[in-house]
Amino acid sequence: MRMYSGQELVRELSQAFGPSGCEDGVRAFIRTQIGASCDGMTEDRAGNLIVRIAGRGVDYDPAEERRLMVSTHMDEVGFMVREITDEGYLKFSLIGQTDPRVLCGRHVVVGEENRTVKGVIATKAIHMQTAEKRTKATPVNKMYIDIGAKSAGDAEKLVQVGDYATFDSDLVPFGKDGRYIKGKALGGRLACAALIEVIRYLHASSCELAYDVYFAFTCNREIGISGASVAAFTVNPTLAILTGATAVNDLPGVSPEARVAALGEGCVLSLADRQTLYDAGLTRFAARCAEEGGIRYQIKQGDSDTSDGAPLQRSMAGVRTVSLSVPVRYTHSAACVASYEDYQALLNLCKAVICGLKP
Amino acid sequence: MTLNQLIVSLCSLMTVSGNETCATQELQSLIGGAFDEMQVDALGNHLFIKRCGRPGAPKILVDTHLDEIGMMVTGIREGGFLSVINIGGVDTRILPAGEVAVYGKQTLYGVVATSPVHLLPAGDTEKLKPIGEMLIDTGYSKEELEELVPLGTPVGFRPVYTELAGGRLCGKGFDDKACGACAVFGIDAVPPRELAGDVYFLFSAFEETGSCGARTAGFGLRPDYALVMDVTHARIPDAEDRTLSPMGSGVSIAASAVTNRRLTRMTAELCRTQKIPFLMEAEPGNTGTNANVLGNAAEGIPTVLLSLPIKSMHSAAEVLGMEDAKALCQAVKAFISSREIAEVFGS
Repeated sequence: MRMYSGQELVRELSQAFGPSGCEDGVRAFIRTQIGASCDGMTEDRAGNLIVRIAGRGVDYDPAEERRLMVSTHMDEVGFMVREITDEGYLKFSLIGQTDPRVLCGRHVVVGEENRTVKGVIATKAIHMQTAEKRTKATPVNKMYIDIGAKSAGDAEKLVQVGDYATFDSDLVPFGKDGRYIKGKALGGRLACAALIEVIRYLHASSCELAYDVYFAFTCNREIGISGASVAAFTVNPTLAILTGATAVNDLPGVSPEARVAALGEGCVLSLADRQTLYDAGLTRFAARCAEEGGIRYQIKQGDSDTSDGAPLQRSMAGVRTVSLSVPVRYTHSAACVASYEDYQALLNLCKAVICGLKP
Repeated sequence: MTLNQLIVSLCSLMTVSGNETCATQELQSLIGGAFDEMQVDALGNHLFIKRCGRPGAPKILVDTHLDEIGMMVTGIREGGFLSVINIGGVDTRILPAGEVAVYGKQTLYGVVATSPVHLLPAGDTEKLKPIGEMLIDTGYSKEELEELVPLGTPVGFRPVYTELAGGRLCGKGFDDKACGACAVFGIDAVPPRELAGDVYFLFSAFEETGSCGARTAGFGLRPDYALVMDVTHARIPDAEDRTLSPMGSGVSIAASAVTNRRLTRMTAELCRTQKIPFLMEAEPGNTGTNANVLGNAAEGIPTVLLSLPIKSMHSAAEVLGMEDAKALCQAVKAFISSREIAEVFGS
């Protein structure tokens, strides 16, 4: 298996097939990319991958059992086939909170990780729509996937009810000097890439670690029934760092408060989301690490969105939790857009916080 | 080059109405070799001539349109976003988070911006913005864009092609350059001495904005008779109209007041005798194609309309069936070789 790093690692992860409940391919890929660069790797029965880097140095006391959990999710939004019509089209349901407005005309991949066919989410041509319909998003129950099958029998040779689908979308660097990247699943997968690089770094370096560090690559985040709670139960952490994406709305005409955060302004520190007030002390510590390390960061405006913060913070007897994320535009679409520099800021800040934490 | 490859090569070209001459060089190199001569006129019509070598032979016009729907840059906004308007009937439902190419001083990649649902007011989550309010994210600053993207720059869908099962091809621009590719294949398959006349293959301009290219080219050329080819809607499950041709049934031949009944009947008969799959399609009045204007150009041009059924017309993910495209090639070949038609309609 080839080892990837930098933008190639991001590309491979973004293009991997892994809607909620079907993360096997992503997990297998992450395992190969970490390989022997860790002190232990396990899968729990919920499908989470947990990777351990042992504590070391003067502040590390194995008797104290201090554990730091660093979490991201592997899954992505997608679709599930719910019916094959007589004409050979696929009716589907959403997996996760995809915006129906971004679905018409999108290329998709249908099946499972090792058995897929290409398809497209069909649209009724503009000529056949009434003026009123042209101003409204098509509801999901009116959409269907065309895989080219001519009949139900044709389609059943290729797919079955219960099959998964995701967007079929390549990773494209664009903008000035390729500073932005476009791809699917640029939420958890950006953080997956960052954590793989952090694990490799911690394994190769001799930096002191006051905590045993457990990296959790989790399942089912997008459907809201988070695997992160199971991972937290398994790890039983003292502290937790949640990584992922923050959906931003930094468009012309949107007021600065309503933008949430902005592309190119660095790693996002969240004070709160709709379910979680993050640990103020840890958040201040992360900000100080960023300042001392010359790492660009921004404080998220408002408390939009939900995350895996709540399941982490509320697990066991409670866990102090901090949130570090990459700002992403057009999340949950085939064309998520992120800044590569923001991704690097997340990676560097994760390293700085993990190595900087004292008992 | 296979038919599939020629369709993808031609449809990938940016030919948004008004920018037809941007493709002149590529057209010359892609299809010029199949013809004796190429001419480009004042409106951007591209005319390719293949001669039969007999003086006074009939002039046969084969028309498909070169232009495609798209957008045009009308403003540059803070943060590196572009405002656009549509050119022709762009399906706005496919635009949010869609991928585009901005054909400025260099070709830029762009994504159509959309706001996260959880940040929208409750009533706005199902609304689609009119195209004039949509923004294209380019990853450049406003100042850089002012240098790279002059106002009026054309914007097209990013060309991405996927082969689906059952010989289906999915991508942008099939309307109408896929028919153009079929025409070139059909014409190239006939040796000059077997042609029923001199063939004038017109890749016409401005169809999507009112068929004005075919109108003026028809007037200038005065062909003896004409074959127009355009895409038509294939049957889809959610269309009210159940008479649409199912994909895979071959060529659709239009019955219409704007086309010539006798020429239409003879063309259908030609398909029948040569076992080229076809269906008749009732288009009594306006066909929405260049046939509307060619029939009435100059002193009137006897015209027949053949169509290629596609799905999701005017989107970035149109779908065609290769078996239908192959049938269209055969129909073109039969039409331009037909001595019977030349005898009746040749001057």
